[in-house]
Amino acid sequence: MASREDIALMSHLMRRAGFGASRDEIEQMCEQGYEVTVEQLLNPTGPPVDEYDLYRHHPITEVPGGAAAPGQAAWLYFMATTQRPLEEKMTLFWHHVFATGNAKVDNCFHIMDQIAMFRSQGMGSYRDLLKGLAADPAMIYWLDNNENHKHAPNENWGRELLELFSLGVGNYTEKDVFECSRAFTGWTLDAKMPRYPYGRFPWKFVFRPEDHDYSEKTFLGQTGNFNGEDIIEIVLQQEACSKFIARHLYNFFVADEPQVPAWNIEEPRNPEAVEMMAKILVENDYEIKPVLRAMFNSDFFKEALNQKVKSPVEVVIGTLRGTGDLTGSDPKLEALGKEPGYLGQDILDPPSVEGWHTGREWINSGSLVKRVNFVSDRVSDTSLPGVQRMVEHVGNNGATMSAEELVDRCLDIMGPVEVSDLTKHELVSNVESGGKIELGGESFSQRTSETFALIAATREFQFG
Amino acid sequence: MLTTTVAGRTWNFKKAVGRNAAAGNGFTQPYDVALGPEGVIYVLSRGAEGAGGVVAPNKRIGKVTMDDQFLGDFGHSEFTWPVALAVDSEGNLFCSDEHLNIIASYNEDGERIGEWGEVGSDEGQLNGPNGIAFDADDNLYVVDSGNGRVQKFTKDGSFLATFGSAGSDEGQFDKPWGITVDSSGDLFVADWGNDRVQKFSAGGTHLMTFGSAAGGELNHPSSVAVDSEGDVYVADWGNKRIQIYEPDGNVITSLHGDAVEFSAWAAEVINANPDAQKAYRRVQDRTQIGLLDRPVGIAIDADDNLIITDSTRGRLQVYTKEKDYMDPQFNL
Repeated sequence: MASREDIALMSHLMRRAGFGASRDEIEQMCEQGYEVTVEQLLNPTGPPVDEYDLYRHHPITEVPGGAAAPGQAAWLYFMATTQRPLEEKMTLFWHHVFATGNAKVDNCFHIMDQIAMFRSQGMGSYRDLLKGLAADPAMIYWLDNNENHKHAPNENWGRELLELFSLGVGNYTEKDVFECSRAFTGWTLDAKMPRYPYGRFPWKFVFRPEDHDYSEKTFLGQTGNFNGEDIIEIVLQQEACSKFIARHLYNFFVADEPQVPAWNIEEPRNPEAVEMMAKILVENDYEIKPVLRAMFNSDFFKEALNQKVKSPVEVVIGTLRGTGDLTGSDPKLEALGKEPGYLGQDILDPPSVEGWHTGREWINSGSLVKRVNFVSDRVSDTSLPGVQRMVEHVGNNGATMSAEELVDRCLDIMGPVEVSDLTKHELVSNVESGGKIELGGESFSQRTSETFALIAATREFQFG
Repeated sequence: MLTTTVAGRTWNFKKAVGRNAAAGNGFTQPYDVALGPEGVIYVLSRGAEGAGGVVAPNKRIGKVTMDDQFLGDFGHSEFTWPVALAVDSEGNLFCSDEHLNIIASYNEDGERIGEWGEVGSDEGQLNGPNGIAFDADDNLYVVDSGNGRVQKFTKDGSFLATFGSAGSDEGQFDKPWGITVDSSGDLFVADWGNDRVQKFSAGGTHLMTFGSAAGGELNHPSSVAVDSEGDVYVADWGNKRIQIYEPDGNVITSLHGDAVEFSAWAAEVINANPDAQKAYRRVQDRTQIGLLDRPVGIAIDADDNLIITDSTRGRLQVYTKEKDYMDPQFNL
């Protein structure tokens, strides 16, 4: 039997490296050990999500256009049903870093193609990701590189490549932005088939040599006739690059950092951890998997329980997986796809190229009510298989139970969640107000699931 | 356009019908097509749950003709996941809904005249009804996809027989989708998850298998149809094409789609949109616009016109079969 500490640590790992896990799964993972579980997350053997089943039942999700909703539904389906949780979590990570939005791209399937690239390469080479993004139709249109011409450079992609995708503010000059942009002239899109009258057709990346600036450039201290790929190689040589990606990983997986634009004026909360991760990135030629392994096995990760405010996606997907509310194709999928947006995180449609402001900025008076209601509605629904199993766990030990014991067990199965004495007192009082606890039966299920719902409304539950 | 030639027959692209539209003279993810009396073609729009909710109005049954008449549509907001159509000998239309687990019926005027179906896995119960097809006696075969079997009912829903089970052996099914009955009364079932089509006698005896995943011959086939000469057409959904087989199971050829020219309804849209006309002038190669993208349903009319629902593109593609075709000499 796993100890309470082991359960808490494994639950922490699965919340961060995935979207949570059931208590049965957590106990099984505790049995096999922490490091073995990390390796399984890094090298998943489960089958990929059955896309064909999704497209057969929800054909609109395969080629969505102007509206992001069908694409959001498709990705929610992936996250809620995947047996390769870290793969999907890394996909979400890269979407945070390389935020691309359908509000402008207006061809949601192209952003889904970008997401698919993150899914297949997210634990691979950061170098390959940068090169893939430079030729990615959604990114090219999002950051105007189709308007970046030999005689009229557009700096949008060049600037964001340096500012938000690799180095961070303070590690390049305006001249570097211009030279970088010149190197990507001619990296553009072929004319696509118009959307009327048969729906969306894809763009294709093309390199137009006649529109590329072949003259000499000086970029980050190096001079040469650089093309876009040369620029990426020079970027990767910068110490700032590895630190920037390491800090992103720390912010996403370990503990909340200040928002990205503040990174050049605020030190990391744990500079040693960021240094260590940056070093591993460089030593492994920017392969992502080794740094993930080191991070998940580090003390600073293991000590970071409840140091992060759960993102809306983590709240929604964690709840759906935990309660068993979405296990495959379902007519409610398209409505569920909008839920992260209602909670403040419109996936495939971030507010800007900077992505979302995370941490405490996830919470405001509107989003808090939405997230509490989303979780409470489900954890109080005893018709859901995951909730039934949670109730069983709460009631499976002994013939009687005090109100405090019931609350403790509910807190345990919901996280475990550590709450303040005041919160605990309120929870216990509520249970006590219902009178003596009879184990088993509908009344027990109802009182237990009501307690789940109340826990979902606590301050402490918003952290994970 | 002459698309394909083989010894003794060829298939000529005839036309496209429809356009991608959430209402009016177009279709939204057309999943099946069935032939009604007097040249009526029924087209089932699967639609999307999206903004309209689970029973969104874009889920509907359109009435059109081969010469591009739009005769209206019906069934709005009456379905959750409609899948397939079939017409009985009296001209009534039947439609399956794999989420509601029902078979609904309509008269020629589009008025709902019946509905039956009970969810479950016992004989006569349904779990995700998909393809439906009538035999010559007006009994309805229903692909009971979630239960991995085919069931036979009277058209009023009285259970008659069942065969098959979930699995991958001969006579078993993995999430089967479409079905057809040929002129001899034999059945063909698109065994979607097993990448094959299986042929059965009317009583459910396995007769033969068409295709497999090997070499990509079939990839999740969605439906099947048989013409007057016994050639078998399979909507090769995963490969986005129609595979054509001789009656003995040999592949003859494939149709990938040829609707490069706009359908009449599509042309209406483009002719009213000067910017779209200009945008088309930028496109160097229009081949892509003609290709099938997730073909789902197939119907064959009395003239051996092959009518295919081109679901992602919201249209029908129609081919005619030219019989007794002689190919000219190769080096002409």
